Amino acid sequence: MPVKLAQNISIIEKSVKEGNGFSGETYRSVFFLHELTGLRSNANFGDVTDYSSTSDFRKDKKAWLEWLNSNVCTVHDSTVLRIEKAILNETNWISLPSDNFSPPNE
Amino acid sequence: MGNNPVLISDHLGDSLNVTFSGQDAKNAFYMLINDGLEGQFRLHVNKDNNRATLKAIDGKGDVSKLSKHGKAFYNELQTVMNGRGDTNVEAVFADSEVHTGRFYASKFDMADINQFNSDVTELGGTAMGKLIHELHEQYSGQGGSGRIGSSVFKNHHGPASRAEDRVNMSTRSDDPNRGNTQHFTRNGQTATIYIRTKNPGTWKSWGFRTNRSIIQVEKQ
Repeated sequence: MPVKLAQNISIIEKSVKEGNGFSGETYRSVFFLHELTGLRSNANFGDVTDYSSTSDFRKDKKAWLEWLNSNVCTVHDSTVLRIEKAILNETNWISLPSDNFSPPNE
Repeated sequence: MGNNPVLISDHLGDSLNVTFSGQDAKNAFYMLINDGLEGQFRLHVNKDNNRATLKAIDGKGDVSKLSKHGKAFYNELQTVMNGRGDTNVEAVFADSEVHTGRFYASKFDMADINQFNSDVTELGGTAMGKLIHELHEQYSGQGGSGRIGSSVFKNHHGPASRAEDRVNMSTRSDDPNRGNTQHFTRNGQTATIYIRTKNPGTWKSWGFRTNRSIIQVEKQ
């Protein structure tokens, strides 16, 4: 579990450094950490999402790592897998181009 | 309602309540909605309670005269205006803390929205599609309570994108690997846009790149 948490923080940190806003992968990492820790991110969520400032990311990172220190022994791998699967199902708006639009009947 | 002219379209009495950060936000909001209603209806926001409704223009008000995009825009507005309970939103203009929309603050930025294509028939992000996205996301997220409360962004962004699709008549997807990159696909053709939210930085200013007050939409 600590590895998964660190991996997801690392994905977000890379996104913050690049400064190009959230990719789908970044969204999923933030959602994963939210579901796992119960801590909502300080990112500026919207049509596009990013951190308004790097200090907002640092606050999130600190909170997530503190949570890890307190809970490292209490979360099972099965919980992590369940969360990952649920997030994949709930974020089908993240994908490469797809064409499944059905126009309404005239 | 079918094809019958209607005078005031808020038959259930439920509410979209809109406040404005200033005159620019108000003007842009009115202009975009009235353009989208193609001369058949016009927006009215009650100055006492901020309640938004659509009114038929004298001698008009015929849904059947709307184009297919106009009809979809009208229908999506009606969903939010006549749906359950209250939806409270604030329209801002050129706010550097709001990039098109800010879910947890219930705000959307009309200056940003107007950076998208003003022609709703064009493939790619459109201003009408973005406005519907923002309104629908708040409607879905607030669930009639008039506030976001404990709602979670990820559960409402997808349905809002589908509302955006119905206006644009295309399918939006957010890129898995590239930041701020959105795809719009119709009949096998895809338009991809990148949305720039930060001012350019230098190696000295890394970590301190400032937010743009108005986003920049770049075709890829």
